[in-house]
Amino acid sequence: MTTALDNREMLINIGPQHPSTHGVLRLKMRLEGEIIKDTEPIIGYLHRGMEKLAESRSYCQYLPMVDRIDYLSSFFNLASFCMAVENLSEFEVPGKAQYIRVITMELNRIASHLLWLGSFLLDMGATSPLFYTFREREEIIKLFEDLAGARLLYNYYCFGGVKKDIPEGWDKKVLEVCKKLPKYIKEYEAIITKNPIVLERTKCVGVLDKTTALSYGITGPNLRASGVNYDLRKVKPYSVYNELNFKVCTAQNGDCHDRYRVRVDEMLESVKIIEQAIKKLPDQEDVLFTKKIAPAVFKAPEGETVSLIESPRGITACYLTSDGTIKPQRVKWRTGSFSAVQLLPELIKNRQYADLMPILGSLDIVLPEVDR
Amino acid sequence: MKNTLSKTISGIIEISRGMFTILKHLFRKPITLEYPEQRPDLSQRFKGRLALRVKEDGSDRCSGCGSCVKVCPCGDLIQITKEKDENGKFIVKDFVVDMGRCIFCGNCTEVCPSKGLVMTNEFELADYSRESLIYDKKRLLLSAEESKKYDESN
Ligand code: SF4
Ligand code: SF4
Repeated sequence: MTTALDNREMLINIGPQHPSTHGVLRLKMRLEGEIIKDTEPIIGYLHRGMEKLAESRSYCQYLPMVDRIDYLSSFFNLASFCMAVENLSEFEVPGKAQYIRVITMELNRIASHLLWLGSFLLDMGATSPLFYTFREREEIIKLFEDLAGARLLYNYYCFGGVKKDIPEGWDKKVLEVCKKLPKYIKEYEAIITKNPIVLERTKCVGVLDKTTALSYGITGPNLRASGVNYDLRKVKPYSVYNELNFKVCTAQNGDCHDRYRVRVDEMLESVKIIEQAIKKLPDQEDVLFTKKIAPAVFKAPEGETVSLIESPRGITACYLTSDGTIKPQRVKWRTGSFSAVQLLPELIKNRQYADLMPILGSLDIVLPEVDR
Repeated sequence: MKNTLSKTISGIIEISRGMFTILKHLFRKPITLEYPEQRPDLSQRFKGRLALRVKEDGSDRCSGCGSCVKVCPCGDLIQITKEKDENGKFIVKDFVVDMGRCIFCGNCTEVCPSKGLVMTNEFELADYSRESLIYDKKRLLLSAEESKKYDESN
């Protein structure tokens, strides 16, 4: 980027306020005509100091803020932080709470992928799928509203369980939505999967091979689309995932179309997981958390821990050190989008400018998660 | 040549398949809500504007214990002024919440021991100035009837 410009080259700046960068991402690009020679992503426009904020707040005060790290998959951040605290305090999460967590997390994964699908196609110029995916997402979000009272930022898990029981008839509503979803997904596939324009713009575009993916620390659907069968839910099952039957979706080529494939397949797998989890949900048992804690004075024992979770955008890790006081000593977050955004220059080098949007869209970057 | 031809034909078929799917939506019921004429049906647990409940006889439920202040992530967002009444008992003189800075997390309502602080279903909080978003006790208090609506059950 620092090298002097050739007289045929041009330096252009995209963003930070660009409608299709999914947040506020700034890209500095060196172009030669339509060919992208070099790119430098500049991040940090959404930095809120999430890690530093933890040091001046008690565990319970910090809990609602964790939601805001990635607002499209709040439940995963919450689960990651709660699991870290539970590891330290040696809390055992009761069965019912575990299943509620799995159901909400998988629903959240579907909601997140649906939003991704809509905006990915919008990036390529298709508007109708966005309305369809938002329609289904609305149904899921309505379920969350009934459960947690909020549509995006739930603050629903607590240390050692969940805060409230599921409302009357909620599980039935979830099953209803699960029944409808595969039908809807089939509809999207009819519009998208074999559409010649989509194929032309995504096949063999932004090919990410195995070695590059691994060396950049890419995780989640992006990695699985490159043919690496790595899913934390299988490799290192947390919560109750080892009791559920599901398969890991992978693809081989690692191009934009494969990344689309993997996410669509994952939604269908999630539906299966939810259906199983609802069946196994213990209905009698009313224990929702390990023990009642006093939120204002809750202290985690001294020590350090890390908790890993497979979120829709890769592995979300929360590293936590505690010095035994009511405030965490240090919280560190590792999120999937952060690695994915570093990959962008590699993928679009020497490609047409028009390929930028499909590639950026297919990586599923959420900027608040990158900047934290 | 043959390749291009088959590609064109399959392209036409696939596009018409997609178009047909989109066309089907023409005959479905619309899902949009004609807000503000139609109101969304919100759940009992909805986290909206904060409010203070009263007892049946209209006296305050809040005892001024200050638990809600301690768990609020935004520090000094809730401000409680207490005063001694003639019997030497503490009463809550003023209860100020800056709704403009509230993140609607619900931490405060969860810890309230007397179930005096609740979140209502009210979500239209837009206003013209920051000052008007600072709610004092008078604006936060619900009537006895409304208080019953937000009872402990949820
Ligand atoms: S926690 Fe409840 S009773 Fe205590 S000061 Fe707050 S509103 Fe009043
Ligand atoms: S809802 Fe959350 S941010 Fe708002 S006053 Fe209560 S604790 Fe504070």
